[in-house]
Amino acid sequence: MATIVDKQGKHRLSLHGLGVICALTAAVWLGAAEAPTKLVTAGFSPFAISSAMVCGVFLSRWTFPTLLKGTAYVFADLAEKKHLIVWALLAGVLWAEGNTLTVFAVRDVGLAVAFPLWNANSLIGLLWGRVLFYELKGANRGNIAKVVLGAVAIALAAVMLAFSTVHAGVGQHAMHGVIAAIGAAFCFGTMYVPYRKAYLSGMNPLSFVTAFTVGEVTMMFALTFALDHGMHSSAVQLFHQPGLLFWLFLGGCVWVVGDLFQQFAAKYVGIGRGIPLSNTNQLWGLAWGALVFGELAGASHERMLLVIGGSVVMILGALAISTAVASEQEQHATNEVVKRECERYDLDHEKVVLSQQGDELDRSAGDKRWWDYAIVAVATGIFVWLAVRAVIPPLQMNLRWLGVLAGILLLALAAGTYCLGKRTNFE
Amino acid sequence: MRLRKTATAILTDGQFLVPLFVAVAAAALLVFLH
Repeated sequence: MATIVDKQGKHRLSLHGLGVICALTAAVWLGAAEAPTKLVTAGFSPFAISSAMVCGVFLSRWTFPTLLKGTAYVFADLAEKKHLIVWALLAGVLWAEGNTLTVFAVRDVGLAVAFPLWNANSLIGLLWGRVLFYELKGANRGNIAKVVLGAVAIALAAVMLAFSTVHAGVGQHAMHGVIAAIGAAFCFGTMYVPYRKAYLSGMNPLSFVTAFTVGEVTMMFALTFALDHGMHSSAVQLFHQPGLLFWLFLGGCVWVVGDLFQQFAAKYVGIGRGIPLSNTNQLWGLAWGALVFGELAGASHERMLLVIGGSVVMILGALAISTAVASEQEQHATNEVVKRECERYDLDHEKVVLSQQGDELDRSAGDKRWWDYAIVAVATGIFVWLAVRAVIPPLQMNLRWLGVLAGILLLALAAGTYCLGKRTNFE
Repeated sequence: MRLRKTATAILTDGQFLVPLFVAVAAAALLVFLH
């Protein structure tokens, strides 16, 4: 019977290496996702901003899987593991709830206090990874120390970076804000449980996100309608302003690219290692804010020390996790979890194990049909339609740094896509 | 029949209760905070 470790020697790039590359590429893109939204300066509610971004996310979530594998492949994958559709919808609901809780948290205690709290999601993910999926089971002490200390270092660095950029006062409902931030951490940390569950069952991340986004967009609209004045929400006005809408759709699109790589990272290195690594996105978010939008202009020595210290600690934490390659015993524990999934949900064990290695029995299943091209054309058309109407607000930007960071984005995308395509054919 | 079997497998899966509980608790928290 095939095992996960059997075929690794045949390939040049290890699955661990691939997972780390995916997580770091995810960080670069997730960190850049906020940049376009900074161009929307008018007074819209956070619900309106989130709803518009989620629409961009929805369009992109259907475009990339269709472009890479085709809808026939995606629907065949979903039909084969129907139970995971429920899990994917639940994950989407958790994301929308977590995102809304961050809105409440920022309102009541400010970003400096709220962000470190919800950034603890990586530690919650680590806990679920260990308890539910036996991650780190059988790992040697060195690897356990690298992963746990690395995750703690990245969470601590996030606190330092958050305090370096934000100086918001604490609102009147401080306790409510703290509870909301902790709630968001639980939502964002638990959201990875369905991710990992899906990939241990051999589902392609591209199929999973296609169902995930339905739960995400439905819940986000329900929350906007319920909590943001119903039909009088500023989201309704925002959707009548294509000049602004483009930037939010673009932010959503950038976020989707990052999230897709994050999904592949969860598949190939697990959630205990994948979440902290992709949480280094804050470093890139800070780079965009400071270098392109001049957010650290005139910063004091103390703030600059926090930025440098936080960045160094975050890089060290990422390095520690990146070098913690799962041992054979740890992979054996993963195999046990895979067997459990196959028995419970009546899955083909050999097929699932092959999928764990990024191999599938039937690679020709990715053939495209005419409607695949139609979906991509419609989604691209909407983006182009919005882009030609986009209004650039009079905001000071450093175009040289904009070019450098955009170049890094493209470079990371090229490297990540090349490695994923060559090693696994996006499986 | 197959659908019922799948539904039973999901609902009796202890791992499913974790995200389900968090999702319900988060919804209750949102209502409370609102």
